[in-house]
Amino acid sequence: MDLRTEYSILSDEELAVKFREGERRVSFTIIVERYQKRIYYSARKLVNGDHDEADEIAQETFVKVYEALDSFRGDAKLYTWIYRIMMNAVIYKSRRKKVRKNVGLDEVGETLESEDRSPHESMERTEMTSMIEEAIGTLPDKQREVFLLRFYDEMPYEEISQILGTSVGGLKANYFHAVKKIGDYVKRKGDVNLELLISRTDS
Amino acid sequence: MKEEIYNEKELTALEEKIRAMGIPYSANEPDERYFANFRVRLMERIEAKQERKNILASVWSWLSLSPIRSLSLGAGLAAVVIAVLLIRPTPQPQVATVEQAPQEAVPVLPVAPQEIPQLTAPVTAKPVHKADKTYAASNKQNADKNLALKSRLNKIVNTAEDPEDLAMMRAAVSGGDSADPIDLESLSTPELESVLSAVESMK
Repeated sequence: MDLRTEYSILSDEELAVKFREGERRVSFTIIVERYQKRIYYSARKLVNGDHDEADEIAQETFVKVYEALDSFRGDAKLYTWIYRIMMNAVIYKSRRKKVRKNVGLDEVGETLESEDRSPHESMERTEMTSMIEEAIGTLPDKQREVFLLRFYDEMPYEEISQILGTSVGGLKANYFHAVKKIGDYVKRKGDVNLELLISRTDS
Repeated sequence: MKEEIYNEKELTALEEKIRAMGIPYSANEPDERYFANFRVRLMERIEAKQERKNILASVWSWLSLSPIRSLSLGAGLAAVVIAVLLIRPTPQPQVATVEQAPQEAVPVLPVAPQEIPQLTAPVTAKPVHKADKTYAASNKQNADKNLALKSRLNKIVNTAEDPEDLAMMRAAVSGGDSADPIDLESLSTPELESVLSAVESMK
């Protein structure tokens, strides 16, 4: 049994210990393999679907994980700890963008999205998912973060609380408001679309 | 409590509705090759960063091994800074060129020379002749000389002890006519000189 196969069955905490003991490359590679997709997709949702931005954030996150893994003591789950690093990277990037472009996070996302997407690509997107994306884009930062973590990553409130530093009660309230706002937005938009469809059919 | 107001059923129904609309930002999702390449790029990035850190660390340890090295490096850097400061050419005083606004041509109405009223007589500067200058100078010289002669005359008259001599001197000064004495101010320089010589001979 080679080292890689042997290490792949180890838990996160055990891998962190192996990393500290000197088996850095193999243990780190297994950690990256385990979490790269989740981190990439979570980052992508947070930057409104921008692939390049999500890729850069995911890369930056794992570089920081490599540098700081020695100090990981296992107080929280490894994924929660990595996620928190990723969130900080997203916040740092969005702040830099705000300073550079002097526009809000949502506007940045929308601008980049509309610039990067070709008309053909836009055609491919279903109307439903684009409506959901629009609805998520209207949420305040905090509600959006909670919604994405809870709804798509299915993360327990306790872990979200460790990442965002908010009480579980506060998170539940944020989540409920986020879901309600998205539901209202979809309903409103759906009604408008239906009216448009009826008016086109009539004419 | 506000949390209790949240309708769990309503929330679940909304969640199902949103989930049915698809996963946002899922268009153009990267395939497995991207994630395989992601790890390779990540490890290259980490190695490059570690290499830079190692170079810096080795330079620092090389310097900290001997205080002479760090001192000589510091002196060298200081010399470079001083040299740069000395060699740097002094900036030439720059005079900002001020562009003058083109003056608008003042329209001149054609007027016949006869129509111009002669308001005042033309004022011409009086030329100063050389003779006038020498005359003024000699005048000043004579006045000074007269003043000196008069003070000398008064001194002799005032210091005369013999009352007979004094009477004769006064007669000489007044021109022998006590009723209408000569004003010394009206005498010219040669006249004053002759009076003075007469008074001196009486001493």
